[in-house]
Amino acid sequence: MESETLTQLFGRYGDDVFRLAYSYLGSRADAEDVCQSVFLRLAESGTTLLPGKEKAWLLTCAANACKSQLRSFWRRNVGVLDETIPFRDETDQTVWDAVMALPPKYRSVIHLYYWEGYGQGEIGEILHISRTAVQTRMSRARALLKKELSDDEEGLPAFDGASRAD
Amino acid sequence: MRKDYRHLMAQVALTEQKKEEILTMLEQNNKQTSKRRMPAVTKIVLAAALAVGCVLSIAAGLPAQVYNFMNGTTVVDLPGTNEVEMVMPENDAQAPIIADNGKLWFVGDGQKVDLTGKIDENTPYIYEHTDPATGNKGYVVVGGTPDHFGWAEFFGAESGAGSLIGLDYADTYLLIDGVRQPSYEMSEELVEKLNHDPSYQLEPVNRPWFQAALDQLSLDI
Repeated sequence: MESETLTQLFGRYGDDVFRLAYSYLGSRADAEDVCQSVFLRLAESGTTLLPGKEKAWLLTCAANACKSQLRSFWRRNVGVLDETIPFRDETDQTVWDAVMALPPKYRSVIHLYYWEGYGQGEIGEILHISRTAVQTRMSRARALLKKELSDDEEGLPAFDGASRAD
Repeated sequence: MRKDYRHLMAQVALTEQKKEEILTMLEQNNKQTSKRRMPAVTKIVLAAALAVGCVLSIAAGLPAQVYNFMNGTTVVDLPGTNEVEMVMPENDAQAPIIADNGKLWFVGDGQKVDLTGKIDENTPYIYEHTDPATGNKGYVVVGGTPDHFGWAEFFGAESGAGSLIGLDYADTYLLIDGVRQPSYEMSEELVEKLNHDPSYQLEPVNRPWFQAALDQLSLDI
């Protein structure tokens, strides 16, 4: 891969890879490691990506790297650095806490749907799971989020349960 | 919930310090590997890697698919994964089309065919061959002009699996107000919008000569 192209890809998608990893792992340091490893892997592989599919490829690699992180002996037995990103207001923190209370496999679906705007089929391709599995995870994640946020004593924020057509 | 989630994730980004750090690592890595890189004309696109990976991840348990391309490159689809292994020839892989003094030549399979005047932006040259090791039927398609030519080589199987390598056989466009804008003409502002607004979608479009070849072969890639 040409250095310029790689640099451009990093400039364009670096934050997206980082966001997915952060939503998956909940740790800035771990998410940075994942982001770095994804782009280094691309650099070392010499692969040129299919035009228009670059972001999906990078997010797939990021999701795979996050899964490996979660499975790693070190993370399971030693724990992670509690290095989180401070949010601007309390509502953001409440939503973030609710999302982080979800199992990681639900968080990734939520992130790809709400932030990236992918449809269920595309999420399935990125995470290597069936469309049915995406629907199931989405449904359970929404139910958990709704419960978590409606139980909040502060009453922050109401979950609208909005759905987007694929 | 979407609005709330987007509001908070908009605050999540790599620090400038970390970005610099990663960029430096990428540049250093590029210097270290530059001797092993192929020349620009033979850069290879593993176009089918993602799709094939998805197919094979469903068909877990099947043996690995091996594709031996005419220029000596071998691609192995690893079953049950989204990954392929690509082995390059020790000497740089040769693109199947070369330009020389304003003339275009097809080069491969021990042949050198003068294509000058026979191909253009709409007209491809198609070469069919069979991988002697696997029996897979493959196609090499070249097209374009001496100033802007491209090529693709691909294998396909009835199962839907397949692999493709190539260069400059497609362009990417963004549809804005009904007008297609090529990605190479995009402004930084637009790139920034692309990064943050998922309603923007880049569309890869086969170049006319490549699409004409696919139509002739009744293939859809």
